[in-house]
Amino acid sequence: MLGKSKDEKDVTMPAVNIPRTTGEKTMISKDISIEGEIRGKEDLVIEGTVKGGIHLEGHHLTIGPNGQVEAEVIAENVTISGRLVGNIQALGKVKITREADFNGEIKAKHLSVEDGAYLKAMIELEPHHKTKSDDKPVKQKSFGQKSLGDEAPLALAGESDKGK
Amino acid sequence: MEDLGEEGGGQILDVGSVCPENIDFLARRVKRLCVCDMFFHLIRGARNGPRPARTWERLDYPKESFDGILLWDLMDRLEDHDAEEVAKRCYNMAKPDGMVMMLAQGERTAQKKLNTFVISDDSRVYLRPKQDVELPLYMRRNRQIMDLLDPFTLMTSFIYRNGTREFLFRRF
Repeated sequence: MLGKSKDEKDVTMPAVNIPRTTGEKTMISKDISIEGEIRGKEDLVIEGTVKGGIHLEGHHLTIGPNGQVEAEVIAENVTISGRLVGNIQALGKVKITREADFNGEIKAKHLSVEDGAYLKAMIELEPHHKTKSDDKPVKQKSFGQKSLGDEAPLALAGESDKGK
Repeated sequence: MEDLGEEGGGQILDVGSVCPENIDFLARRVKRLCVCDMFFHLIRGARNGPRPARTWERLDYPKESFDGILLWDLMDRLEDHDAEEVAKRCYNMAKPDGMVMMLAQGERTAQKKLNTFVISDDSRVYLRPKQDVELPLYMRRNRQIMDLLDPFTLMTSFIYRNGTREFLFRRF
């Protein structure tokens, strides 16, 4: 009846309090401090303080705006809105939001950084693969020629001018 | 810049201002991109005061680390002493044969309002206003810029129609 199986009809919710979960996600809240190694097989949100290592292979680490983390991080994807000092190794994407303060190394497939974030980082992304259009001859000799000037740049001075 | 990926890439330092397009463009073309957002501290100082002291100390990388250093608009925002210190640090951080690419504002475009030089997909650069931020502006003539980066050798320099000046220095 109505496409429901017998089992589904029979399910009743208990009246007692159930621990609140948000899908397969764990949260380290604002007043929690952890020192040591965290390993997990679900997504993790940190709003507290963590010092050590975080290994969430295949899962998403979020450092919330209140999060303070000093750690080596391995995860599928990482979102930073708080403070992270340490190195990140992500198979997927690292997202650094405008509230973030990051100092360390990032190795990832993709990286997005919002304007306003503080970043002191060493970054290694998947290399750019050349397409045919990249091989077209480039006439411009200088970096910003077209957009900055719309006209061939004029040389200002050369080595021979130095010291004159 | 077009050739960044040609030789397997090197190690490049971008001192800001941080811009997602530039990071993506550069990080996919060089072996390692280092980003040290010097503007962050200048902006914070401008907003909240006092003016940050010894900002150059944040450029604390080992000697001869970089094949290239991007110095875009930064020198225009530093008073003489700070700019001299940044130039010294750049010289120490650059590898022999390493390059420094500097962009400086021209008289016509000079403004306190902060712009970011953004690299587009076709390797060209355009200016984008950075939030609503103003920083002190220290315009320098070409000769002053060459003197400032004196330990380097000037390879080429250009001026664009809008007045922006580009200088390419090499450390020998």
